[in-house]
Amino acid sequence: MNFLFHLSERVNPFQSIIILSAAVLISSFFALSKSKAVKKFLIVLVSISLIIAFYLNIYSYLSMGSFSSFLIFFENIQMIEIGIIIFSAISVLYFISAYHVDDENFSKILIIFLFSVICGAFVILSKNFILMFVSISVFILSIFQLISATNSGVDKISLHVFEFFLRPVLAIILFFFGFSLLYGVTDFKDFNQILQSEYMSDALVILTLIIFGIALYLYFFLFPFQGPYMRMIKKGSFSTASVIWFFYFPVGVFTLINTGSLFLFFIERNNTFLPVLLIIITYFCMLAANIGAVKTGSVRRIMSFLFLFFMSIFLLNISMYSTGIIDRGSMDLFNLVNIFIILFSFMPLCSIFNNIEKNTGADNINNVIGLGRINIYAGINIIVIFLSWFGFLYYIEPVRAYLDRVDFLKMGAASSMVLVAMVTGFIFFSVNIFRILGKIFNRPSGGEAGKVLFTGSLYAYITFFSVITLLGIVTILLVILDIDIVFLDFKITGFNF
Amino acid sequence: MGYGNRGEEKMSFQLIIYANLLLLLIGIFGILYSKDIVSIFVSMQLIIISGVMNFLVFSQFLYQRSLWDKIFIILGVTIIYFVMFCLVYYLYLNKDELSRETLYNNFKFFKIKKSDWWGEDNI
Amino acid sequence: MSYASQLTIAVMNYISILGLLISGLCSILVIDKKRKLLFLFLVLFFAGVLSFVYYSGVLFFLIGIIAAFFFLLLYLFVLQIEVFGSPEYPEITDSPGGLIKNKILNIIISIFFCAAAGYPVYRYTDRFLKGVKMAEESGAVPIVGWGDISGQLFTEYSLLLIIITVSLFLSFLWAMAIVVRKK
Repeated sequence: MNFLFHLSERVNPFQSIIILSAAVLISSFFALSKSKAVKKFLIVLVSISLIIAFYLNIYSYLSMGSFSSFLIFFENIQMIEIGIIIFSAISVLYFISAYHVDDENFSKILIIFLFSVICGAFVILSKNFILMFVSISVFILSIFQLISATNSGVDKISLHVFEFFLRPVLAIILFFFGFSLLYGVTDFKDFNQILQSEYMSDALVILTLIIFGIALYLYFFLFPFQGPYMRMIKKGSFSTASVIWFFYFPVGVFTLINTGSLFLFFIERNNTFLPVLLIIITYFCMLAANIGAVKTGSVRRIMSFLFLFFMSIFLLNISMYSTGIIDRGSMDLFNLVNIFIILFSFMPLCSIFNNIEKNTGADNINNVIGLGRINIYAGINIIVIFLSWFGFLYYIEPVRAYLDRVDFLKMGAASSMVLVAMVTGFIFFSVNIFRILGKIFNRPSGGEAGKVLFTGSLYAYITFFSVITLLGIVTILLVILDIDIVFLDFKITGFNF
Repeated sequence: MGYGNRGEEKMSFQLIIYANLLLLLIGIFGILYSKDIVSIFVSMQLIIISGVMNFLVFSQFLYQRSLWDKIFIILGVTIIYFVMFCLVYYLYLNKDELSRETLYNNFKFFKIKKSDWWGEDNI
Repeated sequence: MSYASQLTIAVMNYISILGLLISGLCSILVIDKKRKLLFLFLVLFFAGVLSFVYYSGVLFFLIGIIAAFFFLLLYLFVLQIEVFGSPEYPEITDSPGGLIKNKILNIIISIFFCAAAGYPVYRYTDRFLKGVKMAEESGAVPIVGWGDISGQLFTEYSLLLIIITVSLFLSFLWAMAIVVRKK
């Protein structure tokens, strides 16, 4: 045991990455195999390695604390982010295993998938510009290889996959150009050094941040550039959406969070242009996402639009911070909660709707009519999952606190715009939720919903998320009602606005 | 260029920086204007070269030829070209002739269609 | 350094920059794909000359090899379409003048967005250039060699080399995965 502890100390904080790398190494010996037994073995191996990596990630932080070096830094935020990525990876593994286990290239797909998890971890850990750039580029490459490999049997998908990945490639080229401009200001090698230095207000730093902002905007496929993302999700295999939603986007969000201090520096200096621009973009994205979801009958397109709505919630949080409605700590908390809501709702919903499409043979919202009445257990789980989307009611408290502090009639234009954007966006969002729920619990017609069969693993999968969601709802209710419960030295009512 | 007085150096440095930025704008123009995938790749190359030139010029004039930027260029350009190589390879192996020809002749990087915003997308 | 060699370097610098810009513009505007790639080759050539001008000639060889592979594949792709595919794609338009109108609109919109992007780029660059401090020139001209680069690369950035190498290996697996399916 002492030996393992010393070894762990030596390799800190790469323990989880080393476990995953070992799994890649072992799996590569079976890369050419098409045997079912080998595929099952690989699924078990990858699952165990992800679970051990998840445990070691938390253990390394709790036992050895923060770590910082020339290339990387590992603090509590990085631990949480890597934990989320590994948890998402376990979910993505479920989708890949469910829909590609009969694929003759399944072993190769799993190896590429594991490597993309490792790259995602490096993106989060990176501090040095070179490591940051190389890790995000290799991450995008590995995601491209994963998507193209899982879609190699889908007819006429290659154009859409290619179109989709041209955007992140342009984003990394813009990152490269941005880093070259940053080099003209200073030869500091990480963002924290620049943030604490006198160079922060330099003209080239501002230009670099503009270029980085454009690159991130392209990366996230925000409106009006959502076309390739919508087309690829619509046409792709069942696992494509899971890889993009639970992998590609979260890593981008964590990159934004880790570099967000630079953008927030200018917001905190009472720049008027930036908050107004942010609010306009937020309002535009929230509205376009909801209207798009309402106007289509394709379940994939509805979910894709709603996912972009959740992405715009991050912009909403930043807008609210820029206008003073919430403080920095609350903004970080809301961003984290948003990630959890996305993952814990979209994962089970993705699995349910994929199953419906697979059983009915068509991607249409009308195929879910009556599902809640035919399969009551699935219906209850769906209600619980959608309840998590009403978690946006947590915005009520900070808005109420803000309106208590500031006279409503003397509120600034920017604050008013944020509140209007928030209210309008959530009203439209509620319309979408009720539309979907209405279809699910309507009287069955056509018999399509009757064809839907749920496997045991699917029931277990969605039940797990429903239980987590229920626990989350109970916790929040306890906070709101100010009922103090101490659980593992953690006070449930510890959150304040 | 390393000779004469500071004024001449600064003028030359300014000229080179503006030339690099002009190259960047030519690249952006190419991405917006192009109707085929080859032009888009060419435009991306121009932006990459503009970035590389920025590194080299800043290293030459501001840091007296440091090593860090060379390493960034080597690793960064290697990985960017590798990613683009994989993309083109995927395109090259594409057995769907219609997609290949669409990309070759009638492909705009930023194309806005009504179906991307609402309604159905019959692809 | 003698005045003659300094002058040579300065002339090479300006000619290469001019060549880079003209080749770059030609590569965008020319319609024939093979000519586009020819001008792209010229762009890469002038960039290589500039790397020598800035005393970083080693980069020309290191990056040139990688760029050459990509350039070769792009050229093969163009050849594949030209020889085996149908290079011409008829543009469908409602009216005879519609094609020209679309092209003019396309150019105007692209130039407008470039101008919109170019204005803040120019403004911030101008502000930077007004306040920039040049480095003190020492007498000697240190030229960066592969030994210096590899020393730092293998000591401080070996992790990145491992990541790129593993990525290369996995790309072979990926290439097998997508090729096998095509059969």
